[in-house]
Amino acid sequence: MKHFLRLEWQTLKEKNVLLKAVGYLLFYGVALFMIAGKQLRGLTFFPIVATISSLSSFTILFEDGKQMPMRRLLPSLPFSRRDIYRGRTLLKLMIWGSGVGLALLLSGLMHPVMDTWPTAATILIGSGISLFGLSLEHWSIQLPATAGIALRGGLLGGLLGLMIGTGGAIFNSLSRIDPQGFYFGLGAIVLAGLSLWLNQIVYLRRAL
Amino acid sequence: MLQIRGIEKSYPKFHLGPVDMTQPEGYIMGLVGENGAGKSTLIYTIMDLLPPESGVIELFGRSYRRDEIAIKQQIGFVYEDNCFYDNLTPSAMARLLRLSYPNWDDANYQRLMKQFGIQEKPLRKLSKGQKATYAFITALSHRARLLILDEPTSGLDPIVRRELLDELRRYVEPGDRSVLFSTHITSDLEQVADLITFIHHGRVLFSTDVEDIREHYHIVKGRADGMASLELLGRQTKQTHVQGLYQGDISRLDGWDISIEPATLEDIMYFMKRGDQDEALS
Repeated sequence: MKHFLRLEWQTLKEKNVLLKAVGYLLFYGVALFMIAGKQLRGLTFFPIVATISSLSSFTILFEDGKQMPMRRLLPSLPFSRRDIYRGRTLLKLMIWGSGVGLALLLSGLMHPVMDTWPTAATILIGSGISLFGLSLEHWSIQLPATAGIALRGGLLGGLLGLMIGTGGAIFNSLSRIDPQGFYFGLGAIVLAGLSLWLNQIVYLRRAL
Repeated sequence: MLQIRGIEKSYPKFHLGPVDMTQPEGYIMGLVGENGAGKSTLIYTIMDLLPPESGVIELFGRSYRRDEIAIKQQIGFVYEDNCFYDNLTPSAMARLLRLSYPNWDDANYQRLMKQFGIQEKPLRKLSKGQKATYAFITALSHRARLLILDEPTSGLDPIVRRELLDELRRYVEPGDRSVLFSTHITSDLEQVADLITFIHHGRVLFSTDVEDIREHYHIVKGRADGMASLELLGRQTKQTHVQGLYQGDISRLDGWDISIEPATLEDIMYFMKRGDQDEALS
């Protein structure tokens, strides 16, 4: 697993996508503020930033056109399928964690001007949604290249559109039903875990 | 080195196997068969990319279930088309492969890169032949004991093909390394292969050495009426004359009014696939 993570890290460096991902995030962030600045307050700022930062990062970092390395190159190298799956998942979880941290940091920085600091419930719910988004995006490793690209794009656009359009209303309703955000956050984490586990079972047994 | 026993794999319109095959050390084995015969399916199964429904695969006396990483470290594998990150240059890709293979041999890699003149530009910008050559070079650069090559020479010009085949010969010279490569370019196999495994409709028709094939497979030609009772693996009738593939001891054909020539692999493939067909003379 350690060797595989080293390979993945080196791959990201060789592909020269780390800076590109940061640039993409900045561009996305500015565009988002221009389009939906008014909606990005209180309830929705943290969940949206946490979601787009991880999903858009995956799009830049793991997009390999038609090469499908998870199904072709990597399984032919001396790594077990288990290591490949778990290594890639762990890397995505680390990026997701960084995205959540970034979202929290930005929420704090923007709070004086935009009232963006999230409540504990919003943090739990926002983290749950973005983690569930990650677990769905991770199914792209099973799909043909173009279908994987479509899944990523659809998820990113869909989740963003949903949260920008009706995010405030959704989070308001959720915080009335589950004021602490505990059940919703926990539910999303359990569902995400279940999805990642099923994904692993399929990846370990399937024809690549 | 490689032992396959009773491997089977099913798809809705195709069934592979049961396949039994043994690849000894120090030999080049050619896997031959028409398009869709099951060559790539068998190779992917050997690489554990396709889990078989039944049967056993042992490499270096080990099984994937217990020693997946140790096995793959000793295999140099080449896909039919480019599987590398095509935005990377060859040297960037080599840095990744060096991390993956503890036995990476940089001196050999550099020698081959120079020999074949692979340019340092993104892999997507290399020609199809250069991409194939690059994959071949990387497979030869980590001291693998077994090279498994899926159609490695298709798309290469004849000069590069000849050089690659020479490299294969050099590679097996020490006697403890082997090559398994699939192709439908049978002339390549005739140049370098010691053993031939012939697959037809998902089944291994024979897996034997080249000498055995030369001895036991012949093209026979003669008048149709004189050859009607001769048992052939495939025959082509052109009005009054017949030619076909004969399998067996040719001393049994003494006394027949026919001409006999050694069969090439292409002849064998052709007649096996074709079976019995009549053809009107144009």
